[in-house]
Amino acid sequence: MRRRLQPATPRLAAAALALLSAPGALYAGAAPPAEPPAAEPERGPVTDVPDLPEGHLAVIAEREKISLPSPVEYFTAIAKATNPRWRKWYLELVPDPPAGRPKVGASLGMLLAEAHLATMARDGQRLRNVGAEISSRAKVLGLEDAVAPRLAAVETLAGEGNWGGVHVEFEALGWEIGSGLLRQRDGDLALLVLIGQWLRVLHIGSAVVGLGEVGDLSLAAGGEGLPGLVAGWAGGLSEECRAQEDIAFMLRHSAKLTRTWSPEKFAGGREFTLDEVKDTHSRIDAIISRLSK
Amino acid sequence: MREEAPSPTGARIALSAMAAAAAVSLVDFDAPAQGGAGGGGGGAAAEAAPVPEADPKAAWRRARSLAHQLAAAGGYSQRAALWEGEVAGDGPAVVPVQLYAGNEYQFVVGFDAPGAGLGLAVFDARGRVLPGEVHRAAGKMVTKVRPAASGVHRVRVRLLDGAAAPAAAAMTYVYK
Repeated sequence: MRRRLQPATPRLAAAALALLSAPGALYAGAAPPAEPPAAEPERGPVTDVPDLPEGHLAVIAEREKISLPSPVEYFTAIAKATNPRWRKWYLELVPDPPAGRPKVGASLGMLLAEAHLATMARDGQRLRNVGAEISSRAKVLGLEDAVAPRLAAVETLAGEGNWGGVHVEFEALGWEIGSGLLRQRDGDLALLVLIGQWLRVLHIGSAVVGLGEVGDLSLAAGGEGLPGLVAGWAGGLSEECRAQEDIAFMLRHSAKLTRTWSPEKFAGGREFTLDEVKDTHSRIDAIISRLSK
Repeated sequence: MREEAPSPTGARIALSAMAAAAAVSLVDFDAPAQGGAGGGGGGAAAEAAPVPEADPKAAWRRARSLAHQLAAAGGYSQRAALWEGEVAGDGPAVVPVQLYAGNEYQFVVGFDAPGAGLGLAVFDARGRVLPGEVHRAAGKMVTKVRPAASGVHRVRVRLLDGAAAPAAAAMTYVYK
C-alpha cells in the first residue's frame, strides 16, 4: 500500500476546510461567487488556517452533506425531462489506474458516478464491473477495507432489485471514502474524489441535455451553484497539487464553466443556449480524458 | 457521527422495515394538515404535539424511520445524508439544499422539543416560500414540495408556539 507523506497542517486544513465548508460556504450566502478562483486563491498564509480537530470537522461535514444533492436526484430530474437512455453514456472501464494518486482519486470519484449511472440503468452486470474497478482504485488509496462492506451490500441489493437501496449505498460510500482520506490526512485526494464524481455526473448530464430534447438547458450544469462548487473544491487543492499539469488543465476549464453558468446568469433569468451546453460537455470531456490517463 | 450513514447491514434492515412500513403508510400521522409549507400559517393548534419518551437519538431515529416509511409507501428515494442540529427559541436553523424542478421532495424532520412543535418551510432562490403539504405528529413532521425551478433552496426549521427551550432536530429528505 502506497502512502504519501505530506505536511499535515496546511494541506489537510486547507483542503478539509474547503471540502467540509463547501456547501455551506457557497450556498449559505446570497449566491456563489461569480468569478472562478484565480490560479492563486485569495486566502491567507496557510499558517493562518487553524488545524481544527478532525472530529470537529467531521461533525461539521455531517451537517453540511445534505446541502449537496445526490447524483441520483440530478439524474432523476433529467429522466423527468427526457428519456436519457442511460446505457448510451457508459464510459469504457480501464482496469489500470491512471498514473499518480491525484488522478487515481479523481478516477475513483468518476467511478462512483459511473456506479450511479449503472444503477439508473438497472444494469447489475455493469454494477459488478464498476464495483470491481472501485475496489481496485480504493486499494491503491488504502481504502479497500472501507469500501468492501458497501460493495457487498450493493451486490445483494442489486440482486434483489432494490435500486433505491443501491443508490443510498453509493452515496454513503462516497462520503465514507472522503472521510477515510481525511483520516489519512490526504485532503487533496478527498477533494479530488468529490470533484471527479461531480465532473462525471455533469459530463453525463450535459451529454443528455445536449441532445436538445430537454427544455431547461440549465440542467446541463446541474443547476445553480454546482459548477461553482466544483471550482471551489478545486480551489481548495494544495498548491503542489494544482501545479500538476492535468490538475491545472482541470482548473482552467472548470473556471470557464463557472463563468458560463454563473449565479448572476441564473439570477437574471438568462436563457442558456445549446452551444453553451455542448461547450460545457466538451470541456468536461477533455478534463475527464486527461484525468483518466 | 458515522452512524448517520446507513451501514450495509442497516440498509438491509431498512429494507425489511420498509416492507413492513408499506402497510403503515402515512396514516402514521395523527392529524394530517394541509396548507402552506410556511411552518405556521394559522394551524398553530394542530402544530403543537407532545413528545413522548426521552431519547438522545430520538430526533435522528424519527427522521430516519419516517424516511424509510415514506420510501416504502410512496416509492421515494432516500438520501444517505442527514442534517442534525439544535433549533433554539431565538432563531431558526436554515439549511441550504439544491432541489430540482420536476422532482417531488418530502422533507422529514424528527425532533425532541418538549411541549412544542417545529415548523419547516422551503424557500426558493428569491425567498418565496414553496407551497406544500404539511403532516405532523408527535416528534416528527413531513413537508412535501415540488420546486418550480431548479436551484439552491433554503429549508428553515423553527420552533413554534414560542417555545424557549432548544430542540434537537434531525432532517433528511426523500424524493422521486
